[in-house]
Amino acid sequence: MAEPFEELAGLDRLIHEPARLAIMTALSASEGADFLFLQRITGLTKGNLSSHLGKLERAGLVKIKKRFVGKTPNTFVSLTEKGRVAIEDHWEQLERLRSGAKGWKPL
Amino acid sequence: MQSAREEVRDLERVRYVTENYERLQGLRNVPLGLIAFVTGASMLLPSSSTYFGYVVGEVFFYALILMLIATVLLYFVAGNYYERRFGWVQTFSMKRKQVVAVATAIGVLLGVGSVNLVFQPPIHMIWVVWGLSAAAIYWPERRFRMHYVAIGVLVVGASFLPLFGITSVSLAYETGGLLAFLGVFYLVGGILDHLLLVRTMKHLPEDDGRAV
Repeated sequence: MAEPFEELAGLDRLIHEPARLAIMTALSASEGADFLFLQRITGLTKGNLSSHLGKLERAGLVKIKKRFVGKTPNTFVSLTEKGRVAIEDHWEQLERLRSGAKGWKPL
Repeated sequence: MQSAREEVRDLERVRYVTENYERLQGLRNVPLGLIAFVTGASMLLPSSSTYFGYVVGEVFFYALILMLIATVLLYFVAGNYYERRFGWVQTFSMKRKQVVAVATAIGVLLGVGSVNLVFQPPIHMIWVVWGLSAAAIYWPERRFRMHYVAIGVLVVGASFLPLFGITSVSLAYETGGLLAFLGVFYLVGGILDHLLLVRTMKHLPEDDGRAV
């Protein structure tokens, strides 16, 4: 079994960043969501959200689809298969860390 | 700055709200709750009342049809409001297990309803089953929607009152009381669900001017 600090070092930095973790968590709980929903649930500005989504898209973790709903442009975001596996693994890893941390004793 | 525990709690809320986004759009249920409450309450009034319940049956019938149409329309209006204000989520379709659970619950309710009708036990079994089902279904979600568990427990409790000689509740159950109760259930539940959704959503920040 890996030691807690090894586990910590093994966390995927790309996903573990708080804003991206919130985005990935929301997307993992659904088939996908539009830009406005992600903005409202994370509280990020358009520019920040866009930048985080860009990073996740380049890593192959999310798919971004631009479309029109009526006459309004709409950006729909969903997880790729790789993204779904990555966020599940990440949560499992966090869970392991959390239960491991319960056994820690001060030096 | 948020502590790690607060951060995890926030993420759990993000996950729950996204997963249940449509179910938390409580304002959709408010018109339905209102119509059920008004109809049920009118049936509880004495027949000499001037309320439209029993006195002007035909007018009541047409009013009911109009209210039902308005309820359906308002359901979609509320959906549109949520979409414009908070965005859109494509939620997972119901899993096979959930479909089986809902079908079983309906089957059990119908079965118990028939037994209730034939044997007329002193307590209303259908409401015991209904209350227990509501409490059991919402128990895993109690951290977010404890109100439904509480309502379920209250219904079960009230169903047993005739055993202690309190029959007024039982009488209300037989007439419009049930409908009025369901109305309150949808009204209160809907408003609390709406508040949970609004509390979770964050304000749109000022744009930082970067390209989207």
